[in-house]
Amino acid sequence: MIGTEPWSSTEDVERLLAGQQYIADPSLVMAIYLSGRLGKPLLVEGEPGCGKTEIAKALAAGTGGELIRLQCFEGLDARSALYEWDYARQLLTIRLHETRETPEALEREVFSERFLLKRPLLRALSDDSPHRPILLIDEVDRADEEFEGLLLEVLSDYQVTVPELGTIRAKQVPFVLITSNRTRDLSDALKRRCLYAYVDYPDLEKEVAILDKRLPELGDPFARKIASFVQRVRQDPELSKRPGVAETLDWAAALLDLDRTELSAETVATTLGFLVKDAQDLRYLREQRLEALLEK
Amino acid sequence: MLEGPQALAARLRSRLGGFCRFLRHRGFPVGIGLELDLGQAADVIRLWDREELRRASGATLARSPEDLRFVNDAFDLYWTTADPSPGPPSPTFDLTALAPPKRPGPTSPRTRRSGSEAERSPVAIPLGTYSAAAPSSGHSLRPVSPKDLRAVRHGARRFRRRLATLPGRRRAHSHGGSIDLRDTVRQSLRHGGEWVELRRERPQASRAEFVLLWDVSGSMREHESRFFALVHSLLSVSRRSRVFAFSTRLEEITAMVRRSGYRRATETVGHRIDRADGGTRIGHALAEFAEKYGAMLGPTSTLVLLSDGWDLGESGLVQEELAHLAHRTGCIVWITPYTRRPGFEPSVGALRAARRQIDLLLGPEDFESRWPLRPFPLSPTTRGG
Repeated sequence: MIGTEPWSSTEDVERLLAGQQYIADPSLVMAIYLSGRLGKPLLVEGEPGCGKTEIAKALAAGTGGELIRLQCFEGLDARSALYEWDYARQLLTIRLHETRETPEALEREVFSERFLLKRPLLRALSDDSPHRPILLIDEVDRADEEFEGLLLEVLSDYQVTVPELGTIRAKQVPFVLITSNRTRDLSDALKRRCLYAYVDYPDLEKEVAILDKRLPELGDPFARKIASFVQRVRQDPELSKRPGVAETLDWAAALLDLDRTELSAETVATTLGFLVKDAQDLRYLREQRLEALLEK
Repeated sequence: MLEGPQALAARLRSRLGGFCRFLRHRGFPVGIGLELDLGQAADVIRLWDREELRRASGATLARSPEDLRFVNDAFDLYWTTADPSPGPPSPTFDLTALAPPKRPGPTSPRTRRSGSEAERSPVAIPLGTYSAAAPSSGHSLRPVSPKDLRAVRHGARRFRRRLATLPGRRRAHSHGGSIDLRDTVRQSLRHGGEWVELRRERPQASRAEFVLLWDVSGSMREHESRFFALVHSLLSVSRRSRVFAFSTRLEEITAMVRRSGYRRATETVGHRIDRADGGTRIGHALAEFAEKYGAMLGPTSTLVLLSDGWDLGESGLVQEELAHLAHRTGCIVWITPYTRRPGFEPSVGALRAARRQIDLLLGPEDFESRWPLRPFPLSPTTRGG
């Protein structure tokens, strides 16, 4: 059971992403291409703010498929991810029909699909729209390890077993993208079921290209200055949290909004909070490194 | 004679199994499932395009940035071109470079090839050049091999399960706790729709919270790569955990350790702890920890000390501070590199002073083997005895 993939070559994927202002490495393009062709989930790991979630958004916008997002968090369970019975309606129905129907008939009635509340995973499997849905399981490392067990059946066979109803199989295979910031190690069982891509910090040229695409008003020379500064900040081994592309874009947008066209010490010092989000890092850069970073 | 792309693709496909065997031979786990994935990927890519095959190999076989690097290095070794030119690499395959690595044995047909053929085969490449344990920079902290790291991670998971104190996702029936509507409905149906009782449930403990205090002083230098693999693994299996490095001063390094990738974290942390030479005063480090971060401890947290116990400070202070911390934590674990040495006794300065407060005394070997934890037996008068 392999879905109808919207691409037939890696160039198609590259074009599709570029059309949504997303610049991807060839290895990421290959992983997305294979994921679509083989019908396997794609696990994307990488630093925070490097565009992992954006991949799903770009794919959804580019293919016309519905983006179904499951944001993971500690304590996430089947009720929030797969399905839940509408208990209030079930109790009400039991009360209304208890005198007219046998317990067996009543059980069949209240455990029918009518009383099933579909959560993102089940919704993605039930989707029968003409375009493949994009299922984004975001920041899976935030969920408990036990939650990964829940995903196994969904990701390997694209089916969910509801004890009261039986097995629900996918009408079409969704494109599944799982992201992780690597705050903990994922289980081998989950990794085995996925293809893998790693999104690293972009190099200078790629970051300039991203700025040019997303904020063309900056102009190439200023975009290059911003990207060069960010690259130097990232190389500082003393920083505990390095800025991602999202921070670069935030900072560049702020500079644009302030009508700045040069990176002066005063401009950088007052806007550095857009780029660096850790109090100690911010103090360290402002007090000890700013001049050196600007001089280079 | 030149081959067409289809014939070349067929020949390359037949070599994919050899590439997987080559990876396994070098300690990289490629199961049948991954091998099939690579085979399926080969059906939908332009197999004769070297870079496409490289990327497809990475996407199907790797599961971490370290794996990606390993697969890429192995790819270059296995699918090597025979006569590398100084310019950029050829985008397509050199057909003379398709042979798998040579296996020893006088009867191997490969040994009967002509000299020029032998020179052009991958056998001529020094296959031992890649090492996962190769130094990454000037400091002494080195990454352990992927195989060793995997073993330590398994051990860290076992350790976490044993010391779980925090509520997990699984819930169990209980007399108190929140109302279990699902079970209540089922119970009601069993009695013909009559609402008999409200069923209740509570989450079961399956998660742990570690606070790691890692001794990075001079006496621990020879063990630091091994201990860092353990620190990294413990942090990667428990998201709530934090780690502090101490020698003559105490410093939190959680963010650095959590940085993407074990290798990158090794480089960053190695750079940071390089300055932490000289001796250590464990008692003072514990006092500083208690003062600055004591508030983060609670009955659900486990304090893990990774140290050989050599101490330049007062042992009375160690005892005092650990006793103080023992009241604030659920459990204290000490991991020392010497528990498996013949005749070992926890009699070194700080360890001797601390033994009354320790619940478990372990060695790094407990995490590296597949066996259950074998704590060093403490005397009955100690907390863990």
